Amino acid sequence: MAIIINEKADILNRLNAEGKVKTMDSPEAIAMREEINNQMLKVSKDYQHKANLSQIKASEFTFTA
Amino acid sequence: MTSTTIICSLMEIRDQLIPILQREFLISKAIAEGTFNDSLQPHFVRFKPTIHIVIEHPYVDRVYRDSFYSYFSTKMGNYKKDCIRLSFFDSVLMASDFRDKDAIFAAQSHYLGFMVLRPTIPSIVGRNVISPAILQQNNFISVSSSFHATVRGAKFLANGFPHSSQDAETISCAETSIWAIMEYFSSRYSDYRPALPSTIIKALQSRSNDRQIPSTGLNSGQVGFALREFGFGTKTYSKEQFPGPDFKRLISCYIESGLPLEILIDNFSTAGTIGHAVLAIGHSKTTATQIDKLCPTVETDPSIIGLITAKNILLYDNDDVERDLVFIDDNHPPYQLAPINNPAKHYNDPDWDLCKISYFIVPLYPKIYLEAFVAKSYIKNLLLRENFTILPNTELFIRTFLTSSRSFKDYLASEKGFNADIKEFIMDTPMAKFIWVCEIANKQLIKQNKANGLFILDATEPNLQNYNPLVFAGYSDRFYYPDPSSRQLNEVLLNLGIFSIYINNLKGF
Repeated sequence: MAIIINEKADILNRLNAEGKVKTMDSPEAIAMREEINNQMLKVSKDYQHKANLSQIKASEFTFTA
Repeated sequence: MTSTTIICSLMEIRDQLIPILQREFLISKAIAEGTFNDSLQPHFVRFKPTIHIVIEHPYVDRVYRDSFYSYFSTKMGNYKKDCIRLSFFDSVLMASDFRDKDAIFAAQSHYLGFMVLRPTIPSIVGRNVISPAILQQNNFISVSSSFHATVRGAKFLANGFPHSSQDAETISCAETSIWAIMEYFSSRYSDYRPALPSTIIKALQSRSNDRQIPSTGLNSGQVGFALREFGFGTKTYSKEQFPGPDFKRLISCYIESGLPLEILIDNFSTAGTIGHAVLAIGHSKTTATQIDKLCPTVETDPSIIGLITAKNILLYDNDDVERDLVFIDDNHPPYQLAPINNPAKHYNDPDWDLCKISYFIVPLYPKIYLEAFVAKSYIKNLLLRENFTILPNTELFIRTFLTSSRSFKDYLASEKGFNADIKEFIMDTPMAKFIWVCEIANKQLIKQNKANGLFILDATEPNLQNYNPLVFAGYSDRFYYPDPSSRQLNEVLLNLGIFSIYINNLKGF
């Protein structure tokens, strides 16, 4: 007889029934998501700038010792 | 022409090897002795005294043969094409040990690698793979792989990291480090192929304005280009662009991920002329004292500083721990330990002492689009902004690394400390081939190699909007995961438990 395993769905269903699962769709949660979005945009831009300059500067020197 | 084999102890190697060097490499006794003292003795003095050596000659080494046919044979001088091979065992050996199946099987557990000696005086140490277990001092962890070899015709497996000295004509430090990276990755993953010296030179033809041999070294752009040609998605990091503690943390994070790094050191800032390429493949073992002495992390991101201050917590970063790095340096025997702020400490030379790490190149799998700097920032933002129960004065110790989801799930499958429901939840979650993992603990837990928080990010997702890279974020009494269809964040109130940290990358912590 075939055994079907879908533990993740079973676990979530059980935890849902126990009231332990909550969707983060409150105004506060949405605001938090936007805050993280904005912060990570800044971090990504900062990183891109540093990465480009890293490449340019590193190409100036030859390593041969 | 017949093969000759000599079995001797470490005490006898000098007397046995010098006449062979004279005869096989056509050099005088004085040159043979000088070459032994300068090139070989620095290796042997680090070995355990119980080591026995099998000397075989002539030996055809594919790496040297490649250099011979592409360069040395074109010179007027009489260059030999054969090498000598040394094989190392930590037991007494008899000739008959290599002619009996059971004896060969027993010898495998004592086999500690091989070293090829090539006729490129004075840099005769060629391709070698030596196990750290051969060393008297081996209190470090590092990446390693298995390499097929033979001794007296019988097959053996050498475990270690590939190393070679530069011959300073076809390959300088930069090409040698590229060769070693390819040798390592090709032995572990079928996506990559070994790169012989002529292959490296050919790959760089379009990026060279001058003749390529005799080699005068490479710049980092050429190193990165070659690695990209060989299948990597390379990233270059500059100390100048990632100032303060960020540069060191990035090095540490990638090494914790089990990635050998191409490290470029120089003393140009002190008007010196040394520019050298080495590989960093591991670090010294973490001690409880190092953890106890660790100070709270000095953040460079003002928003993170604000969050830490507002929550009044103590954040410690594993990448701030003061450990020595393990270097593969073609000017020295393998597995040199040196601190990150003095990477040429093993040179014992005032000019080299001034060398600092200026750049490093990480050979990433090409589909790893989310790199360390951004991944760590994202994890800290999630940890400090989401509704995790973090009380004031809480100690948070974070340890971040890359790994394959396959290896991580393999570890998780048998890790008993995890809450069983959370474990199955993660095991049943589809993941990209590579993931960023952040383990969260405190000093007490991490000293026991334990943690009570886990974040997993999709390393193929560089778009950080709307929890795109988030796979799982759990700490203490709850975890978050994005709904696969709506990407809406869900919270689950369940305690992760206390579990053992993942140590598969470097086989230790």
